[in-house]
Amino acid sequence: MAKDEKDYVKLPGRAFFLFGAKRLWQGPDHLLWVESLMGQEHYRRFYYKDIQAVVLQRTKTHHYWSALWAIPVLLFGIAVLLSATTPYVSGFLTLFFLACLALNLILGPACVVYLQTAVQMQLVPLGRLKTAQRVMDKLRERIELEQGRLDVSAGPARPAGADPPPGALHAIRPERDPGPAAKVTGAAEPLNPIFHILLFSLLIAAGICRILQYGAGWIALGFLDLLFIAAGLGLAAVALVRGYHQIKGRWLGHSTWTALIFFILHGMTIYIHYIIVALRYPDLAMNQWGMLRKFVEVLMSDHPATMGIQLGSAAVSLILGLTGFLALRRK
Amino acid sequence: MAACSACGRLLCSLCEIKLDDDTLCIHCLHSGREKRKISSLENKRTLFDTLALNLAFWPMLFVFPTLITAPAALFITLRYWKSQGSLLPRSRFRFVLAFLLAACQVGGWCFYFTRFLD
Repeated sequence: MAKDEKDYVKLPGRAFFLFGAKRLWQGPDHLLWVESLMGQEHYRRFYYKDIQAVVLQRTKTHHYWSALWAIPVLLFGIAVLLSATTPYVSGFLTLFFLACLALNLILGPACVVYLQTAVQMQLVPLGRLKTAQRVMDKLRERIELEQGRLDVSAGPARPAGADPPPGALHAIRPERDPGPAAKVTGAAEPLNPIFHILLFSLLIAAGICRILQYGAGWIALGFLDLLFIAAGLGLAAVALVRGYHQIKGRWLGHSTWTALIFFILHGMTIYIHYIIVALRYPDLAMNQWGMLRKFVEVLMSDHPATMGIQLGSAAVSLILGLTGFLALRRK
Repeated sequence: MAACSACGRLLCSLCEIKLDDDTLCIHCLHSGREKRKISSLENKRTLFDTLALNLAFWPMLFVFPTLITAPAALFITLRYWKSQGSLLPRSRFRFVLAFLLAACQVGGWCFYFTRFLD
């Protein structure tokens, strides 16, 4: 009774999230939504005979991504122009963010796509208009095979003599999903933003701290930076866990996830840096405090690579903190 | 009246359940779901090949955890080589890659300890 695996055909488009991805596959009689997370796959099936509508709505998300990539291009581009020596790190970062900006422009306008059935309005992981239109064309063929061709000229079927209910054409507009907790209790718990406020404040403070490290040269700022990373990891995790259902799918949720990813990546960079310092100064292996002090001194040095990474992470930290506060205002 | 495709029990029109061109009784449907014999009802699968590859690859960045994760990756590869994978078309190259990476790591540690003991 098991279905042949080769019956499934990959559809264009994929949405990424932390440690996972979502993708659509076309089966013989249903659409298969696959969420891959770490070592597991979760499936949802939408049978073609059950699909009532596919709704495509354009959004401004690609403008926000363009702004996000354009700001570092501008900052690092200015650093390249003002640099007295050959700007390897700034130049590389400028080209990297320029490539990201170009890719965003090539991918084109963003959209959200919903699948409407009799019991749900499901957001589908197709973020770009071009991809969504290709997928909708393929789906239309299969749905028409199951349900027959839609006669647009006939209009919607209604009982004889019945007037369409007021606002019927707006019924397709999806309500924002409050999350499974709200479905069970009947009301969404209000979000307590204290951890988000602390997280975004810490991001801004960490960004300022890193910039001041090079201005003032105080080694205490280097130790403070390490504490900020540790605290940031914890705060981001707590903020995500405590308010997960309230922020899922919203701008605030994306900002919090991005902050967590940033702290993880920055933490890994710091750890790799520490290993390099430990290998360079083996005589300090028995003196943990001396090793830590030497590590912070190297982290605050004028080496182009180190300086580039620290200032780059300061810029990202400030941007994330500010966008987080904007997202908090929009919640 | 119809017969269950799995157990042959005769079913009335109220009791029969049609699924994937088959007719099933409620017991066979429940049993098929519990024992994961009906792929149409499965909504989750564990990907042991991805798990083994993650165990073999990511700890390499931190070096020391590979002492534990490399043998774990080898065990998962050998234990679950023939297990049910994804519902989707998928080859076994992740298992092969995980095995090769983990084997190199284990070999590296054996060489290191042998040299250290000498």
